[in-house]
Amino acid sequence: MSEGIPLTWEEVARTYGRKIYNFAYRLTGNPDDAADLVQEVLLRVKRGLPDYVPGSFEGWLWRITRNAFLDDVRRRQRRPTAPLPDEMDRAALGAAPAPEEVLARVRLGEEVQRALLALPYDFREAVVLCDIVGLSYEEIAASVAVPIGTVRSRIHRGRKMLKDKLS
Amino acid sequence: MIHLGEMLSAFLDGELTHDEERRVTEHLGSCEFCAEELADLHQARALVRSLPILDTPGRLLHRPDDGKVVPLYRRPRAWAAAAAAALVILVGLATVLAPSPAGVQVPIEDLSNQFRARDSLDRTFTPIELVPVVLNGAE
Repeated sequence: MSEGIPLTWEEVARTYGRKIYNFAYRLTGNPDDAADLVQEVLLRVKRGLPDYVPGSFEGWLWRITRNAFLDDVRRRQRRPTAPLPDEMDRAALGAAPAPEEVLARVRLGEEVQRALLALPYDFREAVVLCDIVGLSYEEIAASVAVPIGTVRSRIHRGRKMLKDKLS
Repeated sequence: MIHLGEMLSAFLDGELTHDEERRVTEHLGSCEFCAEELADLHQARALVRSLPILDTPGRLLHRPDDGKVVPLYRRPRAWAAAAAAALVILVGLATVLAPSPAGVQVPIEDLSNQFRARDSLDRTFTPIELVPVVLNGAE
């Protein structure tokens, strides 16, 4: 994604704020941690934008996001274990489906989120960047600073572990 | 038989070259083990992708300033509001009281609108009762 690079802070916030929030939320399962991360990333983007050299914007942004996330984890010295709050998912489900359907989807979402949180970090990160954020393998490799073969292996093994946990 | 392993995930994600894709497709036609694994991977991927996309709390998308989130609209400081009010009144009084050159009309509605606008912005502001005055000096 090299075209349409957002050049102002507002454009970055508008275009990527939601993705960053969902990345953090799915990695931590905690809305407060996710909100803190968005704030920290946007602050780092604001400081870094003047020095940004046109190239892979996605790679640049997700490197910042990942570093901010890992810094935060190190600072807190704890592993995220907070359960998924019901109201967050309900609010995100959109236009009023049947209550039973809402409940089923929330429960399924909770199970998938729990399974994600049970994955070792490297695998969880690769799966979230691929299937939640929607990055290509190449973009993930640039963000995480590992070879593309490692990305492929992590995504594959991550999915297999998820499947085992959810069966 | 050598199975496809992680090529299957890359296949699902459209991350293989044309040649690799062709080889995977051929293999899948004759290998039940890999076909089952592909179905499992597809299901795992679909479950993660089915997670609802959450809205970012709106407060986060305002411009950050030195670590603090600054709201788009900042309430004016009290002294600034008082100064602005004083200025409006002074200008208004000067306009009303100054001797007008012959034939110049002072639009009283404009003056009155300034006070109304102020009134709607600041609940603590008490508007002055405006009495229409004829300011047709020369007559």
